[in-house]
Amino acid sequence: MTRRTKRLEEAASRRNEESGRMGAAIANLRPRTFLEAYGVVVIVVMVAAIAAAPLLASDPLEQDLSVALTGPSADHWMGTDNLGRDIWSRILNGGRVSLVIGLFVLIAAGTVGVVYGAISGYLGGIVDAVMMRVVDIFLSFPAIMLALLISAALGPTIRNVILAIAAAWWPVYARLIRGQVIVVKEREYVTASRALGAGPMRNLFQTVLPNSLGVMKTIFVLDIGYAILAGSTLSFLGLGVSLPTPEWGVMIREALQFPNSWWLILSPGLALMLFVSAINFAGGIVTRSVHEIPGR
Amino acid sequence: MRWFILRRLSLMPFVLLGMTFITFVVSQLIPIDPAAAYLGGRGAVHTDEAEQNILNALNARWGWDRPILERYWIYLTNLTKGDLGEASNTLRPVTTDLAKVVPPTIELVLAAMLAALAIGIPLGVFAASRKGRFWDEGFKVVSTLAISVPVFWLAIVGFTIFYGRLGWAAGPGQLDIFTRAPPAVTRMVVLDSIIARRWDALWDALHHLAYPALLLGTVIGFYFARVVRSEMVEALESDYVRTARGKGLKRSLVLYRHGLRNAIIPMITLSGLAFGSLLTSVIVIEHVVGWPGLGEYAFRAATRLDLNGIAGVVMVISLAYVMVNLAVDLLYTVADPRVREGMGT
Amino acid sequence: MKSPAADPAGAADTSGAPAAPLLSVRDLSVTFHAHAEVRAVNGISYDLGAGEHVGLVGESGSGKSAGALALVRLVPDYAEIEGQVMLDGVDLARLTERELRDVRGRRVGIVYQDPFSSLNPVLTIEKQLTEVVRRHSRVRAGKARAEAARLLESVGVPNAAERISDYPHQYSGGMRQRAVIAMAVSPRPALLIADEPTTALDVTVQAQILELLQDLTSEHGTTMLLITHDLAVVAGITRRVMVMYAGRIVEASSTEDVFTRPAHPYTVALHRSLPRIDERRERLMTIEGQPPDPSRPIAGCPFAPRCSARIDRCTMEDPPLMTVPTARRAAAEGWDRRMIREQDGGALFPGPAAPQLTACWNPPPPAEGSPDE
Repeated sequence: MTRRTKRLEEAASRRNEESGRMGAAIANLRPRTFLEAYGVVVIVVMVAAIAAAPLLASDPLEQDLSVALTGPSADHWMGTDNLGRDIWSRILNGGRVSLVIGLFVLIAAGTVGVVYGAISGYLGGIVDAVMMRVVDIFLSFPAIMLALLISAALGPTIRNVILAIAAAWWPVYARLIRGQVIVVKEREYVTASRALGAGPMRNLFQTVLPNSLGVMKTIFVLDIGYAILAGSTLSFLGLGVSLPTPEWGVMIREALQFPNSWWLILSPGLALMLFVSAINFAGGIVTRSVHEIPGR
Repeated sequence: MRWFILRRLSLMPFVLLGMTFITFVVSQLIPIDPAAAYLGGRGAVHTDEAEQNILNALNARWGWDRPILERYWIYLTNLTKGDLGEASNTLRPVTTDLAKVVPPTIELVLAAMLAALAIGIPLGVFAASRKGRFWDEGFKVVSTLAISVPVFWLAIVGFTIFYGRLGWAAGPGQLDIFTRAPPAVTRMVVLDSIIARRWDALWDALHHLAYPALLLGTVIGFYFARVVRSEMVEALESDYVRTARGKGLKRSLVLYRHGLRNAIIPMITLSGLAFGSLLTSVIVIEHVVGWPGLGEYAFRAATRLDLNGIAGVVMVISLAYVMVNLAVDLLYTVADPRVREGMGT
Repeated sequence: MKSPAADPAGAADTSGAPAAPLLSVRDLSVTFHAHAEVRAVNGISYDLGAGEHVGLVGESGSGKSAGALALVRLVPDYAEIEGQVMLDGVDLARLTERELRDVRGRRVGIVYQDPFSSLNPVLTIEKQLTEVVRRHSRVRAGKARAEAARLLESVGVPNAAERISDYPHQYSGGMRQRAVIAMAVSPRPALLIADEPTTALDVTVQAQILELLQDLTSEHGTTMLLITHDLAVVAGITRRVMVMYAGRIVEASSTEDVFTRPAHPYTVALHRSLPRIDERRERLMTIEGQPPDPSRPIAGCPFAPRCSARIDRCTMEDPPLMTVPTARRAAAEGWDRRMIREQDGGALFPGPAAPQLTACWNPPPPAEGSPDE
């Protein structure tokens, strides 16, 4: 091994040091304030309850017309809807749908956006220019119109809601990650890894991309909450998940028909607010773990 | 300065052209069958001949069966004559529809923006001046809740309480059904009432405007307040604020003249950007309180796959976006003397 | 010449300063409660006589700015101030924020380090000048504007009547600092704190600004505390110099003594790092090592790790404040002294009593009697 390769290897291993910060960053994930701790606890409790929904509540679709539209009681502590279905059960099972929408929007929009933006930024030149004009086109079209159009055209299913929101969101991620990649690809360890013979794709996905994702992590985490909100907004407008699937937005839409049954509208809205705000409260932890370099 | 404005305004036709192009591209990317949507269906499930004939007739009427480029060309030539085509969701010319729905929304958004500034700026300054203390922590909790709450839910719950229970808010729409509308001049009912000196109608119009504007204004106001707070915190730690304090100036002067004057500059940019994402909230709120505006129209056009209507809405929004950004740039030069220099005359 | 320095016990030794000092600081400490607790200023005491010009010298991070701005509590919220700050018989440390507002500007004027950031970028010079005039002398707007223009002219801004309506970014650095000075001296303060007033400026402008400060303060009999990291700046202007290191005043002497007979090893080291024209030196000496981390408590003398005259005792307890007379006496009486090894041979300081000695421990402990006889 020549001395030159050795030097290059050293530079390349610096990359690992940078990602080695991850370990310290996780130690940094401990909540520091009361609000951060509160956010984490709420998220954990809600996710656990949603996951254990079958154990905690009856069938969300089970009708019992004898108790239709009754307020909170010992049997149905969040009350029942017009078909006598248990709201508590529908909240838990509806949360499952909301969580799935939130996560999959992030996975879909995140993957497409990150891969697209990374390739565009890494290749640069004409390819980059063309790829970014496409992004511009999507960005200049009002996101809500795009989402409405897509879910109207494809029909109200969970999959289509995810598609509709992801289609409106991915250009934002593409734009962000491209900016990061452009900066990172000029760093020393990238040049070093290229000089060591890493192919362009390997270089991009193993060296450049992992080091470009830093700031994005915060955005992804916070956006889960907003993806859930967006999904429920579409459902509320009648374009998201359709009946009888329980989903928080749909439940609010249904509740509109029974303005005197306040429990119908209160619980799904509070559940949404509780969950999204918990993510926002806990978001500070992620921001810190990304921006603060620990151990200094 | 005048040249700067003219130059920016001269870009407007190109923006419009671009937006029509984008609308056509997007409508090609999504598998849309507008004729089926018109009939209330979604896919090509209509197999019998009678239905097929209706579909063909619809397609012929709006030209949906022609190739995309030809459609685009027709659309553009009509556009030069000020014709945006016929909206399939109302069967009226899109221009007629827009003339009707845009003014109420302008009225609503302007009122909401005023409320947002009136709420957001003092709140942000207040929180920043008490950074880390009780009221700042309280602000952190409330503002986080405010940006986490589903707007549509808040709108309904608020409407149920303030209209349904307390009777403070006015009912749906811009005017009470028993109030005779003032003659339409600007189509903004508040303005029209003033022009016609119809004080009863003015009062009623303001009453109807209050709830949606305050609701939208509060939600946006908290966004603003969070930005103002973080900008103010930075400004308050700056050297020039230390200088101002070192002069022995009163606290209010230090906060507002020295702190806020600087913190407000990024706020201007933000309100330009916020404008772009305002549409979702406007759609939702107009939907809930039955405000006959652009949001509701956009919602109907999109869900009924009314391509001409959508193109019209998108055009209005991008025009508004250009205007708002021009206003933002002009405001910027007022707020920041350093920018004023660079712009020349 | 007698030393005006106060001893660390806090009992005022005002022998050098006029009988009733204008400013009397006792045990002033400033602690920043940030991520870590940083003790920027660590129990300093000194007196300033009316009309006196005193230099406060130290490298960046020595706590000199924090210590000076803490006099009028112009430090961030997370800074904790302890000690006594008597200005004309009033303890500033006990005033409320509202009461202190009448002291800031009117009694204590401040000139800041960076004229590029210490002026508000979005307000005209006129606005920023007028507001301080109106704050401290209740005059009508029109009169205040005239006064502002007169002030700006008096600090030597050319074409002041016109340039007053400019914004700070239209001024050069020197002109901005002149405007800041105009604001500081406008209410005729008794004390002017000049916090590194020339550091951010071009060399050519530095002398002009110093001269301006000198003129204005002499004219009105203003006391000036001139803070700088540059010994050369205080040379022509101040009568006395206090040297700060790691949040403590390590030496307080007359300016002449500091230049000709520095007593503390740190002052000596500072001198060695200064370029001189009267000596040919191949390269400037640097002070080995780093200042101590202010977030950790220091045992013994803060300078000990970098001191070439260090003895074991230095790492365990802090020696008493050095003054030149005591050091000289120590030399005269031939106590166990430590010599700074001369690495380049020749005498470091001109003058007959070139004192290579820095016998921090030679004077007897203060309890055994005044060290200053």
